Amino acid sequence: MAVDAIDFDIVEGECVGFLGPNGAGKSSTMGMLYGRVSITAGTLTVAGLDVATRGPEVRRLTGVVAQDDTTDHDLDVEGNLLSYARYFGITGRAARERVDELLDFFQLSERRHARIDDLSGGLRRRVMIARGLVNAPRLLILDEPTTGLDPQARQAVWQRLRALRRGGVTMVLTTHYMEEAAELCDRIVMMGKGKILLEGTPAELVRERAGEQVVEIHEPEPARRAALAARINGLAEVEQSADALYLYGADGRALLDRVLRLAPEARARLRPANLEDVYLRLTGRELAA
Amino acid sequence: MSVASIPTAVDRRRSPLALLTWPRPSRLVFAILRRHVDVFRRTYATNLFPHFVDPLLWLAAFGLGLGGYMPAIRGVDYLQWFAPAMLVSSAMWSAAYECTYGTYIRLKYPPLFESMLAAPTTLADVAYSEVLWAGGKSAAYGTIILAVLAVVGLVPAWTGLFIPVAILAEGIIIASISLVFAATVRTIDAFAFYYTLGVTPMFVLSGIFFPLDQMPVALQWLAWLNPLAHTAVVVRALALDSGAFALGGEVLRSLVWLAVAMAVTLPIGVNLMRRRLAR
Repeated sequence: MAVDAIDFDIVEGECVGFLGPNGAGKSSTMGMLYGRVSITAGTLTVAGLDVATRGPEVRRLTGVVAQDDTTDHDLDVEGNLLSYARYFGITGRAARERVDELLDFFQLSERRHARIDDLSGGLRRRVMIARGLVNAPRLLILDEPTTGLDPQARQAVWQRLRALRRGGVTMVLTTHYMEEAAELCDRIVMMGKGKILLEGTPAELVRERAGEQVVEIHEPEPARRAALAARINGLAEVEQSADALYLYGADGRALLDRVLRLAPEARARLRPANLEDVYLRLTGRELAA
Repeated sequence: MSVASIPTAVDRRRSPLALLTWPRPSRLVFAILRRHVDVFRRTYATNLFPHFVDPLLWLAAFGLGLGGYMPAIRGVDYLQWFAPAMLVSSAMWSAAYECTYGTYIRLKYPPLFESMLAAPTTLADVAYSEVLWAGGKSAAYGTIILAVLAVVGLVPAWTGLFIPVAILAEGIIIASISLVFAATVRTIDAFAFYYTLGVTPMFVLSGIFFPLDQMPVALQWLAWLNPLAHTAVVVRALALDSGAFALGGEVLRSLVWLAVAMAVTLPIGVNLMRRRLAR
């Protein structure tokens, strides 16, 4: 069983991000949204349609950008979009116009006759997203839309997704990048081990789970990090990552002063809390394997 | 926009008899077939070549080479007897390949069906499209070879015009059987078993190269289970329609056999493929 008793609502026009470690159930949840993964119990409706019994109708309103490359390598870029339009019953001039529009929007017009194998990862992802939009969906599902892309390609994808959001497309995405979630999402759902752990706007989650500010102590040496953690134990709630300690408390300034009194040599600094902290605190606790 | 509430439950049980029911496809199955045609048009030269040249090589080797040493069979010259039935074996190889290696590659490298299943196309559409594409392709190849045979005078009867229909039925049956394996193998190498234990015996024990009626009775019974043997009877009669090979009761019995075989194999192949694709 991939997910267990999850419960969520998505409001039309918003962008919701599903976060969580690998195996948390994000992709399964995405698959359920368009009827690809069968639901063993419970109900799931999209635009008032029960996914279990009216899958094709739901998919008519939905665009899906899978995590893996599912482009059609036997066809060129244009052929990918045209054949995909036909799977939605869109043919002839309507299909050609829509495809031209999308090639233009994703700056793929010059590559329209390129073979998929000859495209970079970033361009291929753009083809995937363009293809997911061929039916002008009301709901766009993106499973890790920028995983494996270089920073430029990622920015290019984000720019397109922001434009779509402004255009009123409802979006659901999964990601491992806190930056991406903060950048694109109105609301965030954090999952772990098939369950929903947390839900809220990025600002709410940061405020509630990590406070305003965080004291970060950089210390890559594990033994010294452990010793440091022991010395400052009790000052505040502490989380550890591979090369740092993080202290979460109400008053960041005062916390930093106390840390430096106890450990003057510590490379400590104060910074605003972010989603990364929320994720770390959650994965540090509830998801400790 | 959506509400989800998904508590725990166990999977439903499946009855083996459910395999014989025909799932209903949507008209989007034609959109998938159109995709296959588009891909085929990009690669037809390489695709067509072996399926076209292979039977001509067999024809040269058996018809002209071996045929010179063979007596007439039930009053018909060996080359004339052998040539129309040659279509039956070429159709089998084409349909079997398409729904074993072809299907498996579409399933995995990269997962083409995944994208189709994110569109309104259904599991049934995808499964039917595999069988129909393979069957249609065999019939198309068969028609081209049939035209060549007709030009050189090896299809004397006008009823030969119906041969593509018989080949289509054969192609659909072979594709459905092949799909059973494509739907169940864990690795692509496992198809070797199907070819050695299924396809090659069908090819040999088909009545295409030699008459089956002088074989041991046990083998004749086995051959009766072979769709190729029945298609060969039908195709030979459609091509010759005279003497011992006139259209008649034997042909009718084989047609009924093929219809029943299609009614059984097609839903089994399609349903198993749906199960493989379902998540």
